[in-house]
Amino acid sequence: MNFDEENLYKGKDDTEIAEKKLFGNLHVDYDQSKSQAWEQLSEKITSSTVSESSPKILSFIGYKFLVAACVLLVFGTLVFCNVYTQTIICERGQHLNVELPDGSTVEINASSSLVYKPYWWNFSRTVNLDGEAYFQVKKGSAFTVNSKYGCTEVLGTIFNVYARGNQYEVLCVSGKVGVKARGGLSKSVFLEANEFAVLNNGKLLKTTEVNSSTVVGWKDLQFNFTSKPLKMVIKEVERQFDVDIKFDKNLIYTGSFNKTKSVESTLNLICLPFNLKFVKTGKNTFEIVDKN
Amino acid sequence: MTHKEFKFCFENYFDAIRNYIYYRSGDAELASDIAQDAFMKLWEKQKLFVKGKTKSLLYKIAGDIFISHVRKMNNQRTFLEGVKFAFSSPDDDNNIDYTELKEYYEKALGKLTENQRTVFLMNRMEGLTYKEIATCLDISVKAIEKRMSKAIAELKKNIKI
Repeated sequence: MNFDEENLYKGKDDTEIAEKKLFGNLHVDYDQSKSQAWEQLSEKITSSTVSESSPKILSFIGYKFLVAACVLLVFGTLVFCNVYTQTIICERGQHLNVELPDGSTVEINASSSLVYKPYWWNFSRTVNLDGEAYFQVKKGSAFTVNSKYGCTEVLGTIFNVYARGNQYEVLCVSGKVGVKARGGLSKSVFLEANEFAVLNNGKLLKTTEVNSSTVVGWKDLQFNFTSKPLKMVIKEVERQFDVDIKFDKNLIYTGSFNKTKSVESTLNLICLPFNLKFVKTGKNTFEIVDKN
Repeated sequence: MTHKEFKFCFENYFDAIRNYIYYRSGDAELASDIAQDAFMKLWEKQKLFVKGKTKSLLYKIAGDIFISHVRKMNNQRTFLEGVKFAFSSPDDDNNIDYTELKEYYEKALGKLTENQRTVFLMNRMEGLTYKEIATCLDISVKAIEKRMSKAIAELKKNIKI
């Protein structure tokens, strides 16, 4: 170690020692002593203690209440959304066009009802149908139509559901739908465009030879029947024209009627081939009897 | 926090907090006020007393009060000339030397940035280790080391002995 280096180290040591010694012997001179500060502070504290500490405890309990209230509110809202249903009833002699929350549209035939949950729509697109309706479903999650005897599930397509009494029929107009009978062990039947399923003794039968325009003709006020019991046809007339008809015969009918015409001409059209006639018994009541 | 615990906090931390603000501001009166306000806030918060945590919470509160004060005073802020110190005990050996040295340091410290000065003085005056400073101010030890080395270099430049 040469002289210069030693000097350098020595010099550094000296400054550091001096600095340490200096700062070790220094303090900040405050006008206000610590005890004065404490006096002031404790004065402020005691004056505010009563008003300060009790709300704190309250607010802690309040906090618990707040959390509980929030949970309850969220839970309540969910329950409400899940339970709240909207029912659309289409009276006899009417047709209704309904738009569902996601923009899907439903055309409801006379004397039918549709029930759905508007606030639960984002979680499950489910409607309950009693009667007949024509669905145009926007693409999205599963869309389910529940009826008494069957349920139809689709993703986004156009189809017609007929669910009256113990009858259940589904027609697929475009896309693909799955139909399932309720309660039974039968598998789902998948329908493609222009395919038709009928529930028969708890089993779903699929038909491909169907002219879809005849099935959904009711939308355009044209009602078509192929080998249907005449009683069913008369029921349809009752629904569409809001009348009561007394009729009690087992006949099979193939033909059509149009809602734009009057009840009388429609009944006339139906009665003619069977050699029957109708009698008006009241304002909106008719009776069908033999011609002779 | 009980009254007893609060008193304990005051006894043990008040000087450190007041000095901390003084190192930052160089204003003794302001430091006293802010330190008191910080303790007042601590009492109002009524947090549970946890030894290390409460201390760094105090540092944080005091620092925040100081910053909001600076923001308010931004327009009329006087330039910091330097920090002033007093001797604790009269040193008979070479008092004159030290008085001179003290003046040099007081001036030089005013030229440091606030961060550098604060860390440097906390280390030298309070005798806190880097780690202790780091936990008080809630920054990393690395950052303290950086500030210290910069502060020392800057001081060396300004004080030629």
